[in-house]
Amino acid sequence: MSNKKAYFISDDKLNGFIESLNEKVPVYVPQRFDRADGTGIYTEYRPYGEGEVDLESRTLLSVKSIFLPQCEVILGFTTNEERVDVVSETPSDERVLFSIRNCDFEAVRRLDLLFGWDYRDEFWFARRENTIIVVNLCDSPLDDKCFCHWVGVDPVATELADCAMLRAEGGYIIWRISERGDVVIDVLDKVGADEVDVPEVEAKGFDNAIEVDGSHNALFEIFTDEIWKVLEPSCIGCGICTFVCPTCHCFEIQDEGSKRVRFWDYCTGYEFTRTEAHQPRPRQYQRYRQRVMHKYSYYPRRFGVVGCTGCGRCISACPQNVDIREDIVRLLKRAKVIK
Amino acid sequence: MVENIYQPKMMRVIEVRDETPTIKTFRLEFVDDEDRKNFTFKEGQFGEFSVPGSGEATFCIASPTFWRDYIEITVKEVRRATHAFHLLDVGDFVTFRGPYGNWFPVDDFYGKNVMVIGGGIGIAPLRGLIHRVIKERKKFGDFCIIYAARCVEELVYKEEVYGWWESDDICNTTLCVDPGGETPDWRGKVSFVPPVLEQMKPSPKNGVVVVCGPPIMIRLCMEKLVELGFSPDVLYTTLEAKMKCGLGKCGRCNIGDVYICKDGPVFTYAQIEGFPGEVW
Repeated sequence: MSNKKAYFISDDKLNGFIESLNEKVPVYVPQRFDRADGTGIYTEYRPYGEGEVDLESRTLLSVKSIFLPQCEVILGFTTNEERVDVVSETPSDERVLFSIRNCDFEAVRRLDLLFGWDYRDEFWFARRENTIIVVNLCDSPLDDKCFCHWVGVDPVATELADCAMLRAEGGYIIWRISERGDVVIDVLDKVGADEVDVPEVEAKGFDNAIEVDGSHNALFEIFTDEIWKVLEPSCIGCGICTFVCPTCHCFEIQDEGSKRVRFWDYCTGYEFTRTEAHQPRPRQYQRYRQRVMHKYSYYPRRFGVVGCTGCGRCISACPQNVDIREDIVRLLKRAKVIK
Repeated sequence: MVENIYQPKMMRVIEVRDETPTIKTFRLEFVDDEDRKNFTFKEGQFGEFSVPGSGEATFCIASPTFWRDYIEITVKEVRRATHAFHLLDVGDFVTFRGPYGNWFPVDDFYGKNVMVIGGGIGIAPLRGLIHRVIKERKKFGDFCIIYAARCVEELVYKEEVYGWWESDDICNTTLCVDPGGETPDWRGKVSFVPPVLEQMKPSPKNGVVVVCGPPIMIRLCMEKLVELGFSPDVLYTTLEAKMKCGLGKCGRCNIGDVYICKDGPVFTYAQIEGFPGEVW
């Protein structure tokens, strides 16, 4: 390992480094924003320069919006008297996604399966292909809400990223993984970051995991179990868990004026499946069950991987304090996967 | 961009027909000849249609595959997108993506006794199938149609349906309306469908049945047909669900791990019995 080069960038030089990098390639980085009404702090991945860089907290919103924007134009119409034409718009510019955690990175890769099967969604893959990934390794959990180790995510994986970074005393160590990461390394070199050895990284503190992988068929079997009705009163169907979730990908398509847009939608809401003729999920427990089962049963049955990467955002965002880990444990007990 | 999978083709309205006070049928042709030449579909498939600016909606293709120059869709006015359709005139433009989904395995029905049961606008996805069987009549055994609606006014494709009704040599057609939905001159039955089945006692021998209508009607018909001895794997239906993409992405139409838009919309009752729930 030590024959490879890594760079140390100290905290006081971090902003200068990102700024220099941003001059070459747009940088998307977790930032804090004071909300306009002053009621709180909002953290999310945004183009560099809009807020205060914060690489150590869990962002309130996942990295999902970088690949599947909350709202995006998928085509437009030009109308004249003779005909209506359809015009597609393309996401194309290369950018660096800086300091993404492995839960979010894994979520994006698991969603590749969904956006790539059968029909290939080029909006998703154009953004996937033009994004250089700098993964920020978690050698310990961010806080007690992290549970990536329950769902098969390696918090210190580096293989599929372009660069990796690790928190060190007073700064970050950053090193190259793939050729595409060179742009980051070049800038580190230019801003005079110190050369250091690539560190050996070991994840610690990810303990007491309940292994969720492999239980999708057992969960499928308890679809009609009464336990869902017991869980129901907790969920009020607000949908915030789906918005902060890195793997929740369900979307709505609507026309707004001469544009056709798609935007995030949430399965815990009544309107999600309602048609004039039919409502297959009239009760809240059915909609909560859809969300949980989609992640832990349907998605692995369909695509071979759990549709959750244990980022813990739904746990911190839920106004009802629903902790999905507690529900998973109850469900796995009910399904006789664990005792 | 390589290919935008949400990019529709443009179509033009060439005919509008009123079916009921809230249902209209639109005949559509592709604006570009190239699109028309390349287009093929199979009975039971659907598409995403829209009046540009008013949003997409999912409709089955309600015309037979051998009408080469145009397709038809039948639209009930309910909300924004369908309201925009009901304002269309001949010459107006609509967008179309498709065809999507699977289809009725009509080739497998050759040599068999075919029964088609429709309820209300649920006759729309069956219409292409009915036309196909009539066109290739000799390739099938007995052919029986049961078409039901809430009231006489709610019968869709009235002219065609009455035509089938009067052609005993081609098919044995039963029309019925719900109790209270009849008019003084109504000559069909006044009944729900399951009692009609009970009375007719169709033979399960060498038979296939295709049912489409309101979910409750499909379920009760399926149960009755199983009671009459039909095997669930010869009972077909086409399921409706809210859909946005039609491509297995938007995550809306699933029942368990099955996507109606990709694995359906056509399913056998045997398949449906294997679903965890949320069908009806």
